[in-house]
Amino acid sequence: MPLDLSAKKYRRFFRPPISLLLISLLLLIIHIISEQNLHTFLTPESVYKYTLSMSFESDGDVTVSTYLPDNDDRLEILDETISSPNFDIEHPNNVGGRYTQWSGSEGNETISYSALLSLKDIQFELSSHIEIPTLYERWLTPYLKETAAIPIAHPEIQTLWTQIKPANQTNTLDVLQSIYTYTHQKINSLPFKGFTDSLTALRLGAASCNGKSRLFVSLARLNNLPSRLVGGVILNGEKKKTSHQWVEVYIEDYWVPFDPTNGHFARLPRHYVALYRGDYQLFKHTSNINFDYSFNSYKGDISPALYRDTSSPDTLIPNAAALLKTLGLPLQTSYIFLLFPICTLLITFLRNIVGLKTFGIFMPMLIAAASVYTGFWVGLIGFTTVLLLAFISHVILGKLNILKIPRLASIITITTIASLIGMSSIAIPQNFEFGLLALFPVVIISFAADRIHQMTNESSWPELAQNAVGTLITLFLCYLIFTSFLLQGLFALYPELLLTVLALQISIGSWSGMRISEIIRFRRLMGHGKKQVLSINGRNRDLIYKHNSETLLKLATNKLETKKCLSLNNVPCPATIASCYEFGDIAAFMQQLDKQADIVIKPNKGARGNGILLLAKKQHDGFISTSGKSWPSKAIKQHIEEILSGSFSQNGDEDAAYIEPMIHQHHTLKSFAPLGLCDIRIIVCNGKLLSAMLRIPTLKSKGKANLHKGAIGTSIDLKTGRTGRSLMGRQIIHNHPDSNKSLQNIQLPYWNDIKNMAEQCYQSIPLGYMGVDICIDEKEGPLVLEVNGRPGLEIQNVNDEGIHNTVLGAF
Amino acid sequence: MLKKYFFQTGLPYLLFAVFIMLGLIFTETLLKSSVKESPIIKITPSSDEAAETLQEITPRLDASHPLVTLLIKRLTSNQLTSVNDVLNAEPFLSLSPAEHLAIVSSGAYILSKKQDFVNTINLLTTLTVEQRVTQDVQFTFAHALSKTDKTAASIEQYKLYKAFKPNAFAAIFNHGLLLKKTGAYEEAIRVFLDAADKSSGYKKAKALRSLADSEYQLSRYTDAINHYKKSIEYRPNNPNTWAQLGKTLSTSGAPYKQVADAYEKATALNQQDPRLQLAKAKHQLQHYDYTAVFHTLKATQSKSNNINGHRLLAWSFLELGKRNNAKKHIRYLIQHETSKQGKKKAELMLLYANKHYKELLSQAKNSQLKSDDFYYLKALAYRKLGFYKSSMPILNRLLDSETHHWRSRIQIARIKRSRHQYNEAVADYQQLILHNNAIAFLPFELSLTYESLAQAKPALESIRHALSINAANKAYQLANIRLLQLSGASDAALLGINTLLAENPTYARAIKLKAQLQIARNEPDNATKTLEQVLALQPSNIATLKKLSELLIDRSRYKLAQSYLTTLLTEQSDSVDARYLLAYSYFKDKKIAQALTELDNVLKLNHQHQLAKELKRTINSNFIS
Repeated sequence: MPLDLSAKKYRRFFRPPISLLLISLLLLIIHIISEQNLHTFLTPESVYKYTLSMSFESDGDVTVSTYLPDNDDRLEILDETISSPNFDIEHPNNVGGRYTQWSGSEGNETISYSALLSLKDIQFELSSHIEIPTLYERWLTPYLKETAAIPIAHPEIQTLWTQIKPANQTNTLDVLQSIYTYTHQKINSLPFKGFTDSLTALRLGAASCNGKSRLFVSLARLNNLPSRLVGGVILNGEKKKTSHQWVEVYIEDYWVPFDPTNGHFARLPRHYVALYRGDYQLFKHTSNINFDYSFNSYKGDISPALYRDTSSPDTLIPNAAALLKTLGLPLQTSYIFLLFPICTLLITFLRNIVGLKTFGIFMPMLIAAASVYTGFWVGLIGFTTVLLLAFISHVILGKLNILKIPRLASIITITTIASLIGMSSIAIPQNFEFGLLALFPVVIISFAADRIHQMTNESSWPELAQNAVGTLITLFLCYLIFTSFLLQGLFALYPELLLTVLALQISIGSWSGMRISEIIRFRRLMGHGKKQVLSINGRNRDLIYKHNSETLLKLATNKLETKKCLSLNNVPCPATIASCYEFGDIAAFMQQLDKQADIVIKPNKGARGNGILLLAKKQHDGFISTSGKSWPSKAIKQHIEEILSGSFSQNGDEDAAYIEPMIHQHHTLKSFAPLGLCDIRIIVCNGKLLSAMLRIPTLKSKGKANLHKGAIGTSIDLKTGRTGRSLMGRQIIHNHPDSNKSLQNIQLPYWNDIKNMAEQCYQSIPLGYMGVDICIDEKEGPLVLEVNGRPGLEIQNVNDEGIHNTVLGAF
Repeated sequence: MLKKYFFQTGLPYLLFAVFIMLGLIFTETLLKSSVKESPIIKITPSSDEAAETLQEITPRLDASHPLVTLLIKRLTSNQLTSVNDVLNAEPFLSLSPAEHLAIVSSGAYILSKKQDFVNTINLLTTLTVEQRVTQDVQFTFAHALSKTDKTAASIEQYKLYKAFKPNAFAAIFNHGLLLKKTGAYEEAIRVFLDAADKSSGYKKAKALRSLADSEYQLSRYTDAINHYKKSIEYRPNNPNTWAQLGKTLSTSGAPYKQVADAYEKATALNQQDPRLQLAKAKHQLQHYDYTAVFHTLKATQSKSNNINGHRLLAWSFLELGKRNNAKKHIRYLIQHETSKQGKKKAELMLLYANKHYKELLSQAKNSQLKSDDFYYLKALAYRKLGFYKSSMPILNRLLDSETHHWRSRIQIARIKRSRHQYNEAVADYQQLILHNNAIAFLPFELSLTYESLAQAKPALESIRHALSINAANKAYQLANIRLLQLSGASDAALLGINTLLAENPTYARAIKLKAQLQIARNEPDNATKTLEQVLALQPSNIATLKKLSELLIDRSRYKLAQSYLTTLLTEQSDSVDARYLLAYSYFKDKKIAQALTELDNVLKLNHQHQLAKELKRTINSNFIS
């Protein structure tokens, strides 16, 4: 029987997420089979970020030189950056190590070096049978010589040796053990900052690392063991100025390390970085330049797949990190780039499945990416500081009535200036990490600050706190993803996994279930026997995307156009006294305004009641608002300018302002709701009325009928128009908190007219799923305030009933 | 209810995500914990037979005996107290002679086990030889003397001990080691022979190995080789004996393969010891197995990063002509060589790698360097500049060098070939191949030498030898084809070239050879097509343009020939032959005026060009009345 691919049972395999997932898995299996050793690159390697900052002041020519890390058998430089603007760099040949010299002219300068180092520990086991050779190859002669700081023939050194020598002076291990025991245990470790030669260390019986090491070398050379000093840094994750010295002894073709200061015999821990070998100085510089320096380091685990050559020439799928490397991307940037998709998957998951809200959708991911360069806490502090600064600037500039776009531009400039000042003065000049703060997406932070500022006006503090916590959680999880060596390795070695990520992202986008946060929000509706709740994902995917066309949605957000449409179908709505679309029309608009009293100025594309100005009485210059606040003409003009520039527009686009006569609440409603204007929200689905509620303003909601701000939601029986139970926040109430009047069983006036008006609204603007907001004027009766193409879901809590099945059943 | 939570909400997805996250965390933890510390590098003496053998005994009294403990305590607690003071004090003073003997000998043995050899000697000096022998501590005494660097005294005590116990292997062996240490090799050989006679198995292997070491020191290589081999029979798993056998074979002038086998065994037995790999690589370089040097050091060099390894690699790449690879290692040497001479030598090597031969020689003149490497470098630079007279004496001197003998012989053979002393060069190459017949470039160079002597048959044999070692080398394949043609096997040559071109369709040299073959086979049309293929790859190749034009003129395709010749003349305007060919093609094409102009040009460039003169005469007599 031939395979019928059109059969329903097979069709699901051709859905994009499934087919992508299958392709990805197939590629993965082929990849794993064809290159079976790749998984070995998943085991992490300890990588240290090493930074050196040098600063100085000079009024003439300056030369500064030091030793930088160099590749050897236990150190591998994976990535390095030298930042030394205005300086020439040279690498003169030097036996000691990778000697680097900067030369330039006067000024206050900072030279920074940063490197990502892969380090290994090293440990030797010396046989007890190694005799000290009598002759060595010629090249070892310098390591057997006496110097001023490392005397050999000096009587005190000779005497010391007679006291500490082992029984068998020709045995390498015995001799080294004696020297080590003496220098490690008998010479006290004291933090001397300066240069200490062998004799001083011996005479004082105390020395720092350099004195102990020199004495060790003296004694080793005395016994014909070629040895040398090694200078370097111990990377212990802190900012410091201390370098370190230890010793290497040449034994049977190996340079074996000994650290008499920290007690390492024939071994060196991983976090030791050797910079030079020999009795040299780490820094050399022109005198009188107020030279200062510091080392900094931190340790991380990085997948070797990112920098080791894993690919065989005939590989089917190349290593993604290697590909990025060919483009010249630094190591850290390449793994951030590779892990961006998985971070976006996380954010999609947190938003659409968990319901976690953040300031800006992908902003936490960008901050986390920047934090990879600076370290999590530095990144977080930097982010918070910049955000706080931007927020304060928003508040100040907002109070100065600066328009939105110039305000945003000003904030970007302010944060840039502040970053510059911070880097040059507040941040310690030696700290190279702070320089990396420049990588912070300042622009994004500024927009985020604007959003926070807007939210402080619109939302409650708990909502803000929720967003802040959501941002922190997302940021932290993104940071964990970026620093996960396993994910770094998996995505570098098996880039086909990106198809899996894509499949999962599409799957989440196709899911219309309830978010975890909605379980809490609608927990009272989740009980046994309750109707299924309509979730945000369900509303968006099954109703709005399917039944509300983009054109109609756009029309619904444009209040003036909506009113025109409704008027054509004789649906009563508040009259439009005047409208203003351009800045040039403001003067004429103001003239119209002067002729009126008891009016409302509204933004055309506003939402949540933002930007609405209720002007009750006229006064000498301007108006007095319903709350008693004086509004001079200049202030009103500025408010109109704000409206036109899009400050209150739902999508931030340029907007229009219009004047409507003030609506006077019907006495029935006014009897129990003394403050603000009540409105009735009716959910209309495919032309059928499904649910209704009355939204009653309170003192807490500052006279606004927004439920999330503290207004009361009261259920309405669709048939009778009588009110039922009332909800304020999460609490069921019976009386209005301000008037103490009962809210139950009130018959709403004009109920049948209201229902008809809602149905007519659908005739005028046929949105498949819509919310119609109607108010009742004392004189005009019911008037349609607006049509909402994305009505909220709180009506389910108010009516104590899920509407999922009812809504879907309407189609 | 639970069903509702599970099917209508994101809970299952959250659980799945948590599961994945925990999986990631678990795997990361697992991977992190699997990170091992770097392996411990064990350093053993380069000659593992240098360690003296110990003789274990059971002391009469053990360390817990109160008097033994007291004796040790008094001796070690106060260094100023002499042994006599201690023994002449109570309770030791009142001991019976037998008790005294037991306590002193036991104390001495326990002290020697604690590596306190000074007190061991001090205690045992109070006893006579007979007493030490009867108490089983004479060996301990001799060993303690050796450990405190009193070699002569130790040898004496071992001799005394052997007089009482002639079969004590440890004593005989240690005696031999001490003799070897003092350079008394002849005597050491006798002692080790005795030790080998009186032992079996592992001990016999040790004795034989030390015996061979002593013989090596006296340059008795045949004996040394035999004894190393015998030692290996008893102890085949000792890498150092294998390495030592390799070294001795090499010094004795044994064929490369034999030496290489010995080193191969040594490195197979201990893959961790870079010294063995370095010894092997050094041998490979000395015996011109340059590619093998890289393979030998590839693994160890990444671990030990030894400067000697870099030196060997730099030289191998230089010898192979891989200058860029060589430069990487030379730069390392410049950075890390500690001596001025070492650094200078590396700098000269860099000049050689950069083909700055004159600069190299000028710097070498002012240099105080005296190593063989330096002289060899100078000889190479002279050879590269064609100053064979200067190069040869240096190379001849280096024939005495153990390290540079064979490499110098290769250079001498090359110089002889360059000087057209082909027969001598052939003899040299044959000897080099006889010594190491696994190197492909030598039979290749030999075949070229034979080719110069027009001896196609041995040349073919040599190139086949080269191809049997490295069949993929295109130059060898091309030489083989050329030689087949020379030897008259034209069909085989054509088959060969077609096979080569099937694998390497854009190999221009092969296409040119194919055209030559076709011309020789009198297939001008095919040759024309083949030469056009060359031109497609190398549009301005002078020789091809000229050859193609000649063929086209012969085929009376004058216009195309003129076009190619014009192209050629734009590339090389002073080519008299090309200009004459152009004039000739104009003449054949009946373009007399143009032919005359070009002939004039030819004669301007070379007024004695006979062909041009004759052609001009022909034109003047036939066409100009």
